[in-house]
Amino acid sequence: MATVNLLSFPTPEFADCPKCATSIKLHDPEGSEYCACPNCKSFLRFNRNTATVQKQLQPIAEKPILPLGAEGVLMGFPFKVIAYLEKKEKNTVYRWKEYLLYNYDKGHASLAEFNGHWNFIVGKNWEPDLENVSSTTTEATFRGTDYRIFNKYTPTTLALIGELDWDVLADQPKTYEYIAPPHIISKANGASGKSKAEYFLGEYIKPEVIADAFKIDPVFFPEKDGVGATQPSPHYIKFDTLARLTMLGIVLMLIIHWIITIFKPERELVNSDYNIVFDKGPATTDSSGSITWNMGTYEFKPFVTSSFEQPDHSSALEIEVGSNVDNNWLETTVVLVNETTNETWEVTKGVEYYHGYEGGESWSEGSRQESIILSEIPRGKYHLNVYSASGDPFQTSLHITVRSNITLWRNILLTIFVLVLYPIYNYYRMNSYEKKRWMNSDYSPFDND
Amino acid sequence: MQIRPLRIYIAFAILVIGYFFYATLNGVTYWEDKAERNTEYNGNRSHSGSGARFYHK
Repeated sequence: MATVNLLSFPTPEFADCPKCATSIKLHDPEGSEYCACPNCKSFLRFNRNTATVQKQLQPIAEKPILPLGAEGVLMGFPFKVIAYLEKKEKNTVYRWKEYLLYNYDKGHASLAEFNGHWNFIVGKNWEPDLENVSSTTTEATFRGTDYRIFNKYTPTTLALIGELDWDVLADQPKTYEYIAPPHIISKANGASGKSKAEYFLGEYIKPEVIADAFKIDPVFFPEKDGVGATQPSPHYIKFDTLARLTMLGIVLMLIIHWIITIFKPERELVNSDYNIVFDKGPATTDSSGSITWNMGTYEFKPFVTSSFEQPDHSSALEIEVGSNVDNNWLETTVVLVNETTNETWEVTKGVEYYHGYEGGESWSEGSRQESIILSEIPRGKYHLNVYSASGDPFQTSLHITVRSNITLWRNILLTIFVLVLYPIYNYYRMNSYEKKRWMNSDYSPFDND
Repeated sequence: MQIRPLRIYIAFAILVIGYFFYATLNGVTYWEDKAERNTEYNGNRSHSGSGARFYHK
């Protein structure tokens, strides 16, 4: 066990390698039970101050970025680097590096680096709550957060330098990794000397933070490759805030609308039925000599409605025209005339309604009423000039409704659409980022995509 | 909430909601149905024929 509850790092001591007599510097001489001889690569065990060779090690493949004995303050705690390990997943090609850190008060922690992405990992000596992790083969729960399975593997140690307090070479626990970026829960089943599963908590840490803590030039750190398992998504943070802001904006917009409708309620300015009369007009003679009245399109006598007042400073007007057309059509041109300024707005709208019974089924299409919305109609006295035409000369009814201060759904929907465009784009980017993250996992939730 | 990276979006949203406020207050539609201003109806419409017309102002 690492020496803990001290006020400072213990004074290093030296031990001789029994194989090559090299003097080996131990940074935690009381706590470290195993070490690697830097000269002959023997894996040594200390028992009652006697060192014995346990195994022959392979030389490390890469020079460690953090040198043994380097001191630094990380996450607010002073650490000393006491071991560097090169590991791999059994039966795969995936390799990573670990640095064992020693703190004189709490004991060991570690830094793990894979593809340029770093995690700071601690056990229950740092986080006693790790006793309370609950897990299945697919998820784990810790402090109310759900972690999703990312990887299952058995680690093996290929090479190491430095000192440890356990036989890492014999230690090949079945390991489950669950992630909830930027955190990871690692569950080790069958670790040497442990009868039950042991949990570790990791957190993504930027290489610049490590470089700053141990006073190392960041250029020596490996380039990041892809998205790390626990790398926090910048899009997720953004999307989370964006979603809240957008909801806030939409609610604000609806409140604005609601308040304005209190002060400017919808008004019905015209709501009348009109009798329309077919206007034969001047007769014409066709090629056969028959007298006709523009057959197929029958125009009705135009008429003028009574005057009405639009009392608000400026308002949107909805003009609705309706008729009880039956398997026919009626088109109406309505001219809104300002009686003071003679300003006019001319609109044309047709209604048509057809129905029937065909192939054992009833069908219908079209509508017996249609509406038109006019923008920014100023205060004033108005009337309507109405010109109708239909395919049915016996059409007799026309209903006209004019409303002001109507709810402009097109404005509401367009505003919502504009507000959600960027969040949707951000969601897309967040999703792409997560897909890249899960490309390194056999348990990707995006596998079916 | 991390507001800072979203300041451009926030400024944009304020503009959009501000214009919505102006439009709702003044009855401005974001797009208007087809309407012709200050015309004099002269009978040249697709369904028009030889019906009686009058100067509508």
